Amino acid sequence: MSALSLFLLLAWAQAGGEPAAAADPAASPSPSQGASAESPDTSAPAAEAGANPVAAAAGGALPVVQPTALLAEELANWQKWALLIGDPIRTVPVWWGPILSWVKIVSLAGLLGWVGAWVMASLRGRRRARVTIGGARPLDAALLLAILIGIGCVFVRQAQQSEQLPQVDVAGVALASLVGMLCLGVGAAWLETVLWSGILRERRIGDVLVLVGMHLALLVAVGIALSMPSGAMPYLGARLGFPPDATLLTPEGELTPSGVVAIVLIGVQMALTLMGFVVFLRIALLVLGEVSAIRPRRLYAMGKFSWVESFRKTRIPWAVLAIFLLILAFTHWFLQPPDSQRQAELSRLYVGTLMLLSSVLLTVMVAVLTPITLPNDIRFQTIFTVVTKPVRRLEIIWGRMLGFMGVVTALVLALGGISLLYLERNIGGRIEQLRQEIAEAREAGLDNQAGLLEAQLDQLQTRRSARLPVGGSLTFVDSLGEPRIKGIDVGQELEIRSFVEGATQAEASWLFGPMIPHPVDRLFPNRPGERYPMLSMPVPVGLLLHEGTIEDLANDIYTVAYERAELEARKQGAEPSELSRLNAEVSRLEEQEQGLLREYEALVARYSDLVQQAEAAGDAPEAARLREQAEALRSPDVPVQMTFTVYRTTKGRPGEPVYASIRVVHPFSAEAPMYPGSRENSPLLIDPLARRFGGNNPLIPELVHSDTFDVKEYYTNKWAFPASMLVGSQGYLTIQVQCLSPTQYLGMAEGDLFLVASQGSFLANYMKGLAGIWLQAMVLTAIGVWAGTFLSWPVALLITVFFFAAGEIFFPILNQLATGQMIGGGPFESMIRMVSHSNQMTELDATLGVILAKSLDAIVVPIMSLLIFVVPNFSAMDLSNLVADGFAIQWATLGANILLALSYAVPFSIAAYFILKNREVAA
Amino acid sequence: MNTLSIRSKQILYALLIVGIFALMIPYGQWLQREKQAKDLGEATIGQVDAGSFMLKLAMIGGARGVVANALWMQAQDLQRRQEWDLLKTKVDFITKLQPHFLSIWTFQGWNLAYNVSVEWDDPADKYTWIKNGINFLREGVENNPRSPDLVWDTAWTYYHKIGFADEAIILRQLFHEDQDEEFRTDPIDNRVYDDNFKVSRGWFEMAVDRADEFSRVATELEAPVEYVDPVENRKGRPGDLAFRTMPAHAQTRYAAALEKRSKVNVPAQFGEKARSEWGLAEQEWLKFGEYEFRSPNALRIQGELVAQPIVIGDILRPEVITNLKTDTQYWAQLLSEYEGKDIREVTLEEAERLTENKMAWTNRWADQNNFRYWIERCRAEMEPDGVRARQLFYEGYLAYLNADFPKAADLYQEGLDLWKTVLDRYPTYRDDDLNRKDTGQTVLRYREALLQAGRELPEDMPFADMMAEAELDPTLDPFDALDMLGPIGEADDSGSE
Repeated sequence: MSALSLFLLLAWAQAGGEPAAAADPAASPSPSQGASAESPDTSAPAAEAGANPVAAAAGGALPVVQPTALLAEELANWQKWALLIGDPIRTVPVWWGPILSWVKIVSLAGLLGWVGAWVMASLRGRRRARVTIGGARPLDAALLLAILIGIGCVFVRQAQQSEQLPQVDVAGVALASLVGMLCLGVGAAWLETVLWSGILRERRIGDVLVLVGMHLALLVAVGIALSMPSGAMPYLGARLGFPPDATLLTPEGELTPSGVVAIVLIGVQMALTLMGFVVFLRIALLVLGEVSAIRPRRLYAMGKFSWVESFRKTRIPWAVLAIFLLILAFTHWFLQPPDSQRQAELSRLYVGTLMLLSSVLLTVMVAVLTPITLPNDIRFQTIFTVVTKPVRRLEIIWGRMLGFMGVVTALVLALGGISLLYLERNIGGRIEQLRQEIAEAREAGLDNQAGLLEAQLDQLQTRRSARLPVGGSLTFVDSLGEPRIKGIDVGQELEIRSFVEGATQAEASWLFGPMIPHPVDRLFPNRPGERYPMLSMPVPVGLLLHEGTIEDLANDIYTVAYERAELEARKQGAEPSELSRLNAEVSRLEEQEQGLLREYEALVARYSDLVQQAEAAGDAPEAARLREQAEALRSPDVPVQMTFTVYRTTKGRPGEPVYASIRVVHPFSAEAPMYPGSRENSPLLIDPLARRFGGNNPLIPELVHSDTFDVKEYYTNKWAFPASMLVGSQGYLTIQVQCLSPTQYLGMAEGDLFLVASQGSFLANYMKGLAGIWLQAMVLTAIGVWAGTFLSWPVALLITVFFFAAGEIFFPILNQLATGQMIGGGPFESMIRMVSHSNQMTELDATLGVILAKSLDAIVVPIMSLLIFVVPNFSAMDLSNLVADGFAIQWATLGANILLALSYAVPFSIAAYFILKNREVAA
Repeated sequence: MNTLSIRSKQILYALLIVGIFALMIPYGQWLQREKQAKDLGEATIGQVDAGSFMLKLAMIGGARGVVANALWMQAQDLQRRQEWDLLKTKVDFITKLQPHFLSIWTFQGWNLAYNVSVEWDDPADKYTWIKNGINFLREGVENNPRSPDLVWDTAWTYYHKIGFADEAIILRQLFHEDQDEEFRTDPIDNRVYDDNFKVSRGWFEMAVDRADEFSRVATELEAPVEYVDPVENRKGRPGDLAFRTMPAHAQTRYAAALEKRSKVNVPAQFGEKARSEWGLAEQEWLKFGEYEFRSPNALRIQGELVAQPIVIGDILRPEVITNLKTDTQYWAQLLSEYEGKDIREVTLEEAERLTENKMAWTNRWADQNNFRYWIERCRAEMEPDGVRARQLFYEGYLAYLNADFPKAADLYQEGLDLWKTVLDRYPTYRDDDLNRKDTGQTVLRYREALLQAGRELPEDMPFADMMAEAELDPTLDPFDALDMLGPIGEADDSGSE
């Protein structure tokens, strides 16, 4: 561990800039790095210069060129793969990308654990040394010296960077760095000796194989690193955290000493990952053997034991329930119900609070319950009665987790049920009350008041549903009609929304579709470099067009027509035998199409018949019934919900709202092209029935549907368009919004406009939200049990609490640390800033204290940033905001969260298994 | 160590416990006395809030400061992210934790009423957030009834944020229609009013009362009330003249707003109602005029440095002051009583200096507050002819806006003639810039109406001299719906008849 971190920090000290952009597993290559790499002799500036005219032609804004795209030109295919697999932070945005990252991290953790365990075992079993220096073996003494000198080197490097010490270079590399590397070498030698001697002594063939495999991995990694073309170094260097102005290449394209360091760093990173894979393989084999021996009966027995223990011995679950009820009884003491004009907040307030309360209580319970039991068992030696039974160690761990999760499940259900009752009483009651108030206001003739209350009621009910939003991909057009990635920045502190100017050509345009290019690629289709991955944001036509309605039938006709068009396209250049088969198929489809068309016409006739009857019917209820029947034949209008903000540059007429126009454009229309930058307007899709109907298509009465509305800022503006707009769209659609009021601006972000695919049940959604809490509890249980396997209970409890606090509260800070975005330096430097009341931006004077603090930061930050790999991101599993805002939690989200939770819980439980196994062996 | 038996250990511990408890009794009594002496304790500082108490208990007292800080930072972050409702919830939570933390009440009350409300586009939403801010401040007042600052902030928000906003005509209308009677209640006379200026007058008066009370408490007690953040009181310091004019300003605003369409859907009111409100405004100004300020400078009289009382209202009767020039007796008595200085007699020369000083300060402060103008304005406006003239102007303007120019010209003419007879009695008001613009604008409209009606301009047009100035400044009155929106919904307007 120390050697690893020492190496990282030395690398950092050499790089001399921000800590290596080491750790964020999901970090995608950030565009700024490539753009700022200004080495004169690389192809990057050339490529960017090449990009400029294109960008200017396409509309001014410089498109970002991904560094990976440029890198791709330098590297052979196998090298790219090697980098992807070997570099711990490199990932790809495809489904297996996160899994690969996970394997890499678990491998590295496994490597650390394996090396640590063997070092301990080896040191414990060492025989008395023959030669000693001051009572220690020469190699141990050398290690101690190396560590001290290594730390000294960091200090010296810091002082040199602050220009307090002169720079001393040997062959172009700072002397201090060389000495540091020497120290690392000593560390590595020590590790080798200890590992070999320990493993050979124990004669464990598996581990000998692992050790050999690790050395092979090291060789492979060195080979790959050396094969990297020097032209790629600037980009690879940027990934390692080298400052943009570091010269890694000489003008002749040779590596500078810094370049050599970069190559070595790449080699080491890759070696560590590959060694990790070797250890991972070993662990996987061991665990698989153990898992195959697991029997559900024994798991159940262990689980039941934990369940009984929780309820009978500690009684914590009862306490949790009691506290929950107690707090609920007095919520009005703590929660200020929103002002009578802001009723919509009631639901968010209560749902948010109840979820938070459930989450806090459950996590506290888990944090207290899980780490206590195992250490107590060990302390009172009751564990012996368990382990002497024919039960496997993994069964002890997983069984315990199962039992605790049983308790958590029971509690989640109980708390959820109580919460729902409470919500029903409070919010349901409030809705009733509002309805009454509206009726009263209407009777009293207070139409203004009634209108306000109705808006509140509507918002409250919206929040208390489970809307399934379907979003599109947003691009802008500026006031001169040029396409833009973003609108105007009106100078708000956070640019959450970007704005379009009123009464100009400026507009925001949302594109929906199953396969649409990234906005950058849409606006700048000819830019150099690799394309971003395609986006899939289709309109769920199947959900929105109801089965058996006129529009559904029309859509079916188009489905057949598309199939036919595809077959006809295949006819070109087909073999004669194939041709006849295709012809037969086409005529079959044509017949089918005709049949559907007849059916369609019959349905439309029935519809107009019903409408006419309704008009003719004198009886009002009869007419309403007929109209209802007629409406049942049509799909309901497609609901659109929008939340925009308004920015006024003039006061306008007092009380007058800002107006906006909205246009829905069918993909057959040429008015909303896929590539707004290109001059010729071609439709997104070619109408396969265009020839049949000519310009007058009865299936799609209008290709463009537009309307105006007044913007109510921060409210959910609701609107709907006819379902016939979706017929034949294959999920493609464009929605454009413009601001109509001159001198005013309309602000929007991509998520501000969405189609509502369905209104699910709030109850089910709330339970799904609780599932998020359940997952949090599961991860925490795994951590608690893991900590309990090797620590006494107070320490285990603290560790569990630490993990929870770090994951829930400090995760953003860890993220900043790991990605090197910490403004104002690491913890020690920040401490100096806090004490001396200096702000985060000023450069601190290079006093001894500051250099010391920076050196300590240089040592601590790389270690702390490793925490981001192991600390679970608890807040990501928390879905309560979605529930509170009235959005449906989709199964995909829940599934992703389950995987996320498992990816933390499983490694922790496996680690617990190994610790428990070795601990009993050692005891 | 281990020689004691278990039993004797138990006895020892029991004794220790009893002993510590016994020690606590005198300490508790001392604490109680201290609390009373220094006017501390929940019940005296403000209302006792069960939720707040429980939260404080849960945070084990001291840690709540840290929690409040963290919450404040979160609140700011929410504001940046435009999560206004969550901001409000967070802020409410801080006040539960630290109800005697004055800064949070002052700052967040202002923040909600001013910064958050402005982010919302619909005036109804703006009104809701202003109301949120005011209610927040009022809750602060309930929790800290002794702080004049919070009362003043409440009053100011009622007065300024509703009454002087860009959308004041709509906001005031919303206030007029508000069903929440508690919100529209004057804290002094406990009556429900339909006008924010009228309600703010009560709050301003309360602020003045609290400031007087505060300075009394501050001098009587050893130390004033210890708030979490013992800020120096911002409002109601001895020399704060403007602070004491606010009740009068609010009442004057109310009376003036009555006589125009200052709420979108409420017609102007004249007659007895307007007269009596102008009368009340005059009374408020006279009340301000009676307040005894202390002169900021000191003169050396009989070897002692002495200040003297200044009463701004004396400026209405300058002879009262000038008569004092020779009244050495008066000065001797006053100075010996005023600050307890040992002054038996005053020479004539000293009396003259004292009188001049008094005159200088009275004059200066009266000018500073435009005191004479306000008094004369109230008196002019409360005259039956004054009110009648205003009504004629209003009706004339309506006719003018409805393009009935002959009628407008007639009404204006009648009004201006009346107005001239009134203003001739009040020269200060007549010659003041504000009036010159206001009346000048009326004359301009009169001229326009005459021209449109095809009539000649009369030779002796009243206030003709004010036209040139008014022409240079064509800005409309943002607080008059007729100016801002034109003749809207006048069908049901009784004032136009």
